[in-house]
Amino acid sequence: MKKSLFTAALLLAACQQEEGGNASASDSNGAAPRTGAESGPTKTNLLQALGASQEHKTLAKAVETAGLTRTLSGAQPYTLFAPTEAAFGKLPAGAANGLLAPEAKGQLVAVLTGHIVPGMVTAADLGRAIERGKGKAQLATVGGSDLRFSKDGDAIVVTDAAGGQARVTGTERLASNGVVHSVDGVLTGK
Amino acid sequence: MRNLVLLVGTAALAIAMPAGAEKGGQGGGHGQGGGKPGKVERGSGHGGGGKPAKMERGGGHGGGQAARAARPHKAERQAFRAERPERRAFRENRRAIRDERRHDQVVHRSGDDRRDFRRVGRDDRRMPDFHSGARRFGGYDRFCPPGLAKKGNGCLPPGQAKKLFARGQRIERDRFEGYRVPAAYQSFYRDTPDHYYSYDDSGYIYRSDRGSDLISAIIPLLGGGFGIGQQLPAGYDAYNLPTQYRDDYYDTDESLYRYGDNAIYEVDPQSGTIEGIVALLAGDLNVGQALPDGYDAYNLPMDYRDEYQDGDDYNYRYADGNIYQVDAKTQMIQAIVEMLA
Repeated sequence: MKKSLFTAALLLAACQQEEGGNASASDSNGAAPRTGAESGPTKTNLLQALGASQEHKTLAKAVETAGLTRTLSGAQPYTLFAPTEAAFGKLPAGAANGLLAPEAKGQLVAVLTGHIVPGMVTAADLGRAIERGKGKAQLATVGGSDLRFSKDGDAIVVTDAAGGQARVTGTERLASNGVVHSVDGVLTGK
Repeated sequence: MRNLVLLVGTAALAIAMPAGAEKGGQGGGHGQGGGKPGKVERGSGHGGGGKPAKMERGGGHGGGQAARAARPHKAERQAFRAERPERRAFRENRRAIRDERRHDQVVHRSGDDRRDFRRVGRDDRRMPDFHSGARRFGGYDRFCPPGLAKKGNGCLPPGQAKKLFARGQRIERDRFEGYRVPAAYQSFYRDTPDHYYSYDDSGYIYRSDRGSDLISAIIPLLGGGFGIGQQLPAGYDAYNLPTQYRDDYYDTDESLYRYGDNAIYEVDPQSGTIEGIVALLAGDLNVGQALPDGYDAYNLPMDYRDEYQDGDDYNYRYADGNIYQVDAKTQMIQAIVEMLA
């Protein structure tokens, strides 16, 4: 067991080196990565990337509560616009806890899937799309709603179907099965 | 006589399929218990190419139980036969699924029509309509006490089965007296000058227009639609995954996989409970259609980026396990060039 943990830690360290510049991914909370994918730019999958990030603890818990762990650790690629701890802190009092309550799973899935886009859209891809769209781009989420993207100076602003907004913050985290972009707001779609 | 055969066939199908699934045995009520059960046989005409079935727990328990399940108890058969609305609901459910599949096939639309079509499609997806008649819970009712199982409402005790409303119907306010939207949802579904929200522990929150009382949205909660920890709704007895996901997720003794509401669910074969979501699908792209809104950005996985780059002639987009080639000028989706799974 110890040996496998050690191997896993080595793998994680190797991944972080490959990722380069993604310093925030190194703030591991001790969660050992499970099986790494065999291919791709990194061996960490989306679930592991979330688990290793201090600023996505609530989101990681939400993903687990919603039953989405296998989705984010599977082979299919997704782009995750990941609300940070600060983003959950901006919700009305009690809303974050309410979302994580066992009886709110349906709503939690709806909120989370509104942050997930099929495929791997890197920050560069998003930037190019906004440029091509004369300042706007639109991405369909797996939850059924669309997210609209625009630029405010250098920052990318994401707007949900109901007009709720958040900013893409920090550096993207590339994973074997997608990419994580941190956002400073929870897009509740209403 | 033919009718009688059909009736018995339908009854056997309804009762035997979940049982067959549970044991990894063959659905359809063939009564084959002894052989090697497998997921490939379960699929209804989805072509071969599957892997041999996993039998982690061995086939020891297959024979007797599967055979028993395939030949339902006389009383059960009679009960099923007696409940005509139930049978009708079963048939309607199958028809709905067939219609849904047809809907997924290529439809040529253009301009505004296409946009409207897509918008409606996405709205429907967000608010799945499980309101067609009585809700039946996929035959898993047999785990209920016998009296409740007959009701076909997911083991709800008498008096707790609630009337379900559909979008566009006028809400009956008196039915919701004494109920409040659960605390966990109140911050998301707070009344506004235009709308108010109602909940009656039926598993749905209803949003109604303040002026007309007409229901404008139905939000499924735990107990309505799909949710982790709840029973799989009716109509999902058969393995139904899109082709590109079949190699990754196939039925075993430990888990069943079902596609519905743009997600693939892992289901516990014993209880019929949804245990997790293993894949989320967008369900937007089809060959022969124009690229819908929402695919502005290049989104291919890293491994495929060298081979398929956006250019003057073609663009490439990923969705639901496939890479699609799109004509750069007309934005028509021309082909699936890769299936990733």
